[in-house]
Amino acid sequence: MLTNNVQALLSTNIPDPSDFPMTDLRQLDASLRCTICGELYDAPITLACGHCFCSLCIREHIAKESECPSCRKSTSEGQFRTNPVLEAAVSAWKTARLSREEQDRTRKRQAERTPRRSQTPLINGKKRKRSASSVSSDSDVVMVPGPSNSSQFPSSPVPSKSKRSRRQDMEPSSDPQEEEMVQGLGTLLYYGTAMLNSYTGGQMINCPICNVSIVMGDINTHLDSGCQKKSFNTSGRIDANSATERIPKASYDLLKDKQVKDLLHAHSLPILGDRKTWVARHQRWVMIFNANLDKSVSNRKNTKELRIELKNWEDSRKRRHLVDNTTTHVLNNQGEFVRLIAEARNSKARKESSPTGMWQHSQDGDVVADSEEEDQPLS
Amino acid sequence: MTSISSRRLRKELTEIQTEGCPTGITLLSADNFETWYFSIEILGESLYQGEVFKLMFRFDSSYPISAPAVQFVVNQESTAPVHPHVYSNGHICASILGTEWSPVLSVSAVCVTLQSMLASCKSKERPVDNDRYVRYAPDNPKKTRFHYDGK
Repeated sequence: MLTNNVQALLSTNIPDPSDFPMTDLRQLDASLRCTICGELYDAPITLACGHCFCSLCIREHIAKESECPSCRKSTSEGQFRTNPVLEAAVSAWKTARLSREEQDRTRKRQAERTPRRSQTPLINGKKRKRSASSVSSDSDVVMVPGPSNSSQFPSSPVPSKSKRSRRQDMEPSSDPQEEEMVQGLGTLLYYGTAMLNSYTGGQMINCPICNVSIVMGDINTHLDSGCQKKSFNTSGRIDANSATERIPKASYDLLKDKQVKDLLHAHSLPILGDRKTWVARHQRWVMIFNANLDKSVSNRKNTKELRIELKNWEDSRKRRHLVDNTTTHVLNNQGEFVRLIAEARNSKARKESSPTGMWQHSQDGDVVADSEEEDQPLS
Repeated sequence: MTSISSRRLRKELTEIQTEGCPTGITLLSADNFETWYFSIEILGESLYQGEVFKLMFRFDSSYPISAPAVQFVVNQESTAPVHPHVYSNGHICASILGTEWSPVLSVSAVCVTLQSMLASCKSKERPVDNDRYVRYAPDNPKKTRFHYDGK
């Protein structure tokens, strides 16, 4: 959603490299950010050329253009490689950022309380940082213990097993995904049935013959088919929690309405709106779903969270066209409407009096090229 | 909830405010995340010495995946530079704003590219088909499919 209120957005805290006054940390922060969205890498994907992007960002880009956004080398989804090492580095940095923020806040509070002694904690902080950064190990630099939360942050490297629980506790509240989760409570109504479905018959078991993970309710059909049918073919439901395979691309143009509906049904997605909406919804779902699989297992979201993400995406697309108060909207934009009407009248008059095929403009991406025009360079 | 496009624009704005624009470029206004205005001038030896132009950026919700609509502002106060790739209505024929757009580019990167496009100009003239184009041009330059001949 595009918001007109820049001030409101500027005042909200969106983590950014400029949070750091010193250039070294700012550069470190910037180097862990996706160059498309500017956020810290979320499910980083490395392309054959070596450039790295968030999975969702590069998937969105590749739907338009099959080249690396940085170096323009041609690329395809087949070249995507997940980068768990970078993902771990980003996780560690996120934690470090938070503990720094907490430290800064405590420092400020202390400075306010005891204005005369305000220098003391600052010096302490600096000393600690310096001594920490002199140790070459990354995790030591990262784990500068703050005065108030030192118990939560062991200064020694943490084994990766405990990373998950720590991440969940310490995830910044300004994290977009979490904000979405909180706001997505209203989704329950919209996706209620879908969620219920995936939870009731949803217990996963392994097939005793082929060892494939199957929804319990579908095991008989699976066995009867000679281990041919996977659970989603029989029950029509796929669970992101246990899925390991990415959803293949669909060529929607070849599908009938019924088949598009089936695609949505296979993922328990709502069938609201027209065909265009279904296709867009399914496309987005495939992106969200596949991008989620590019995270390391412990960081993956569950189906419920992904559905909320999809719902939020749809809402943000819808909201752009909404006008709260039509009367004031008409009044506020009267000038623009008058101009548009005049323009439309003019161009209609021009069209009637001029030869066709002079200029072709793409509308919604549909470009009608005139063969005679194509050869003429415009500039 | 904030969308990717406004979050990304907010980051760009923060960067412009903290680090400043590239030389010769000044942020005139960025009151929302739909339209931003910049002033642009070419420093050093060029055909446009002493001239200042006004650039308008329009963003949609698919930014930065899709390019912003960028054009020179043409009104009583400012005009479009006379350049073989700039139409008199302010529309710019630059591949970077069309097929060659990449989401890793940014507002300041576009400004710098346009600056160097003007700086490297050899002769001040309008595109050959200027009149014809301007007569039928859509309001938004992104709706035109330019033919980039690499000049």
